[in-house]
Amino acid sequence: MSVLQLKNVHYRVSSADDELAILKGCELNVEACESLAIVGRSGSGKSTLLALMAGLDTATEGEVHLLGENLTPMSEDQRARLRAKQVGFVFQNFQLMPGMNALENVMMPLELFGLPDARDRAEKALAQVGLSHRLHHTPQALSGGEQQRVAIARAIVTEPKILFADEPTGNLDETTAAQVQQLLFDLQQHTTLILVTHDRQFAKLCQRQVTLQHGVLEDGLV
Amino acid sequence: MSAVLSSLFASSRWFWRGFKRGDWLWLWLAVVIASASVTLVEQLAQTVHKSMLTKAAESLSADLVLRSTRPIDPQWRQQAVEQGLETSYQISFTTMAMHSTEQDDEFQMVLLKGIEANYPLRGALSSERGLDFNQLNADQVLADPQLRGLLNVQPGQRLLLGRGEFEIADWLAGQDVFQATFSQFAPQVIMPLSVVQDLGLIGPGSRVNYELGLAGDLRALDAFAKILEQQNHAHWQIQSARAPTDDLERAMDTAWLFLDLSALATVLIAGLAILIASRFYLQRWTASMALMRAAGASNRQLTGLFALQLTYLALLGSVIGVLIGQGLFYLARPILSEYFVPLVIPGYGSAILIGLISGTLALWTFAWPAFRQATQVSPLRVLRQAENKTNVLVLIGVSLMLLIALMGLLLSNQLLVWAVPALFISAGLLYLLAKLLLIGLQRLQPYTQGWLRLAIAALARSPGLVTLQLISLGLVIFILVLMTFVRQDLLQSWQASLPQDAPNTFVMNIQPDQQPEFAALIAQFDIEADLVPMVRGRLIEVNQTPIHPQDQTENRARRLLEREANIAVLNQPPAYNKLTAQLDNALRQADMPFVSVEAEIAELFGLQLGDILTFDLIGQPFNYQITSFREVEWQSFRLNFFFVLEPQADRLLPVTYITNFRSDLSPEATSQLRRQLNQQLAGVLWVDAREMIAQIQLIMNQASMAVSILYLFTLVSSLIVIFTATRASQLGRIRSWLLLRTLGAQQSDIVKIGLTEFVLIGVLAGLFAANLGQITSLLIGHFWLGVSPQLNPTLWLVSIGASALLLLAIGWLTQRKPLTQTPKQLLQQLQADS
Repeated sequence: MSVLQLKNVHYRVSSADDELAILKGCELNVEACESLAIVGRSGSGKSTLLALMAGLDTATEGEVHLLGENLTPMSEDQRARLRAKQVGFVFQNFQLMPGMNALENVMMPLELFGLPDARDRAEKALAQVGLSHRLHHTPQALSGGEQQRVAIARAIVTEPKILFADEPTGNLDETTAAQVQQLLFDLQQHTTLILVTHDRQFAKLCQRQVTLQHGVLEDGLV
Repeated sequence: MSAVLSSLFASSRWFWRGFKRGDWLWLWLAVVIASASVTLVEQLAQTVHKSMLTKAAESLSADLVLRSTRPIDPQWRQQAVEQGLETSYQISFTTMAMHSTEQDDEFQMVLLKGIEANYPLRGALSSERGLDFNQLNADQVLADPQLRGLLNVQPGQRLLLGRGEFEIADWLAGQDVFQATFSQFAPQVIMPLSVVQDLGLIGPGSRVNYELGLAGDLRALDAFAKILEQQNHAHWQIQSARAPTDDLERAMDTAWLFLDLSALATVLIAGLAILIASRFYLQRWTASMALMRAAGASNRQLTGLFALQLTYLALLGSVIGVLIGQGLFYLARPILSEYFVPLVIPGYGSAILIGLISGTLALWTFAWPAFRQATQVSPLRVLRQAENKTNVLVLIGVSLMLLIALMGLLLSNQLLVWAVPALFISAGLLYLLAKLLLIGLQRLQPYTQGWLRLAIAALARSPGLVTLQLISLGLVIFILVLMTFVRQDLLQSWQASLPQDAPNTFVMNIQPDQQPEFAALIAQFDIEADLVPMVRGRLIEVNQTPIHPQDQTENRARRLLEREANIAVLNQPPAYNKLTAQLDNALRQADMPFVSVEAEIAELFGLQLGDILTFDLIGQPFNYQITSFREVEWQSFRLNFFFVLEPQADRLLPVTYITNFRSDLSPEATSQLRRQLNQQLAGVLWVDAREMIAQIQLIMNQASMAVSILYLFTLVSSLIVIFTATRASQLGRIRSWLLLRTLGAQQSDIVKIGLTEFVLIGVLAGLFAANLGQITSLLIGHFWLGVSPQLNPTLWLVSIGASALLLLAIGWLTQRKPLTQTPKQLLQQLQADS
């Protein structure tokens, strides 16, 4: 079953005297529980594509269907509702709340939407990423790898159907990156994983790879 | 769980966690300060006001008194009763009391007062032994204890008044010091109204005061007072407990204005702290909100969630602020009760409510722009830097509305009219000036080198924050400089208007032939005094046109024309009066003596220099030409007159002498002097104003204290603002210091760069403050004081120097740690703060 579909997606940005096409007619179909890597050079538009797929932004032209819903005509709040229920994120720079400890960071989305048993679920998610012993540490007391593991725990705690990861190992050393990669794939068994990376080795761990080049998506690693 | 409930739970949990961590500290402190100062000022103002009203009502024996020189028509009393007011009728006049002893008969002028059984409507008629006036026999009276010394009389002994003889049952206790006229300074004797009327002392031409005292509901009183005022009877005087004496009211009004302005300044300063702090929080809020938006929170949900947290903060800050405000008031109560007897606290509800609302409104007014900006954040910000689309008009509109509401709460409408636009125009001008200063700095940068160049570059890197800091610090320093000067002026002018050695005793009605004897008598008690000749008379014509009381619209003008006034007869106006205008000698009429007129009276009657005034003196008209106008400080207790006439050898006027002096004699010595005066110089009237002056001095001291407390409060809150401002920009500063250290800069270079940055901000903010201060003082000078505009170099030097030093000190105190840290420590600090 398809969870994400891109149909002839274009994205352009305008400046005062110029228009720049970032994406040019992208087509993509992602199946449930599939893992997909989007690779491309810096500035190729990978993050823009991820933003469109996750409903953080809207395409200039074309359609994006996420979990059967066409995102294009939706308002930002409608897209937000969809993200809240079905989507999880992992970012390159972790995006943890600086004042909150690991547990509070993971509880945040549960509390935000008034979901029950926030504490138990957060503790469980942190246990899954191997951080049961670091529940009450704030981000600045955690290493980069630990911070990313907290971010992963936060992303999976709402049990999303689809997980987006934007260069999740971009800020980590090789060993830690490998641990985080392993963790992501371990946890992804029942979730679709779409990750953006310029690390070809990491991309190869995914079931499928697409390359974004000159604004166009091409199958495989080009 | 419903969305509302989940928002409530989530927001309260997040707020509390953040609060415990100290995330909200600076905003919270600012709210606490705003609300504490407003609560304290409100409670103080209401208490002092109510105490003074109660005291004044007790002094008047009623809430409102209708005084008349003619009997008051009973219909007015009837009308008052119909409107639900309590009434009491009394009459009073001065008469001679005699006490016969075996050796001699002693005489003393007394104020005889006839009262009804329900007198007084406010306060109590108390005697030293606590006798109930209504239980006295028909031949018993209560009397002023001054008579003990003046007539050598004791309770139980008898006084002769008119054709009646009375026993002094007891001495009166706790008498009023704020009486309306000098004649009422005569010692009082109180008896039932019906008895006074039978004494045969009231006849045609008697100078009797008839009084209808009224008490009751404030609205009914106001309505009835309006009806009475509409009658426009010149022989009526309506005195309300709201204004015990004109002079005191004027002095207190200035104090209230300062207190009001202090509260406003403190709230604005706390507001600026909120504005700067919220800018500091904006980075965190924006990051958090972007993340939550990405995680699926709707804009509405996030707005609600953060609005709730800000509201909790406002409530918590305001509640603590109110508690601190009330705590300070509680500590001030013993001091207040020394100054105000009775000390009447009108309840705490209103001050608490105003404190709570002020703190909350201040937070929302000044945190709103940052809050609004944060709620508009795009979820895309989690992936890349995205511009916020904020509608500036909405920001300004909402802030303006909230500011008007805040100021409406704290100021009277009249002030509000100019305060809001003035504030916005000043802020706009300051913004432009800040931009200009920054451009100037950037232009200067290429001509500098080393650490100075780097310090300027650091400032130029974040122009938004620097502009905000400049405006805030400039405003704070301006407010501080202004308040320092105003406070100093206020205290000095109070001190000058009522110095410690102000005259406290007046002696009137000294006949010309009594002069030498009087001087000799007071000399025995080491008192020296100048005698001023005066005559009693009325203004009857201006430029040969009769001037009638009934044609005057102002009551004051009518009263002056209807009654005889004291008019000085001097070769020149008193030196302590300031001449405001003088007639050119060329315009003086030959053989026409001059009159110098008090400036306000001249304005009241529309008099011009050179006008010819005709006075009725001893029943004969005399002409004088106006040659000068004078400004008179009535509250100074010097001998002041509306008119000063030039003496003329050919005009034989019935001159008597008046004098005043400072007397520090003991009560016994005073009684002895007064008795001798009574015995040797018949008809001389002695007015002892010591009690009243002491009371006024106490009240002014109290007002000075309140002003100083508020000033201190403003000072503390200003320091907090400056601390907040330096703290708010700390992150950017640490980042650049870290970079410089990484590139090889020495620790001493960092210290120089860092502190130069603070000094530069200080100099610019001081320049700001000096500009504002100069403009304000020019405006005040031109429009208020009527003096020609002058540049004040001291103001510039003080503002710039003090501001630079202050910033340097605060910069060192707050940034000492990061300034002297190793690159590794700086990095850790950066990670902890961002």
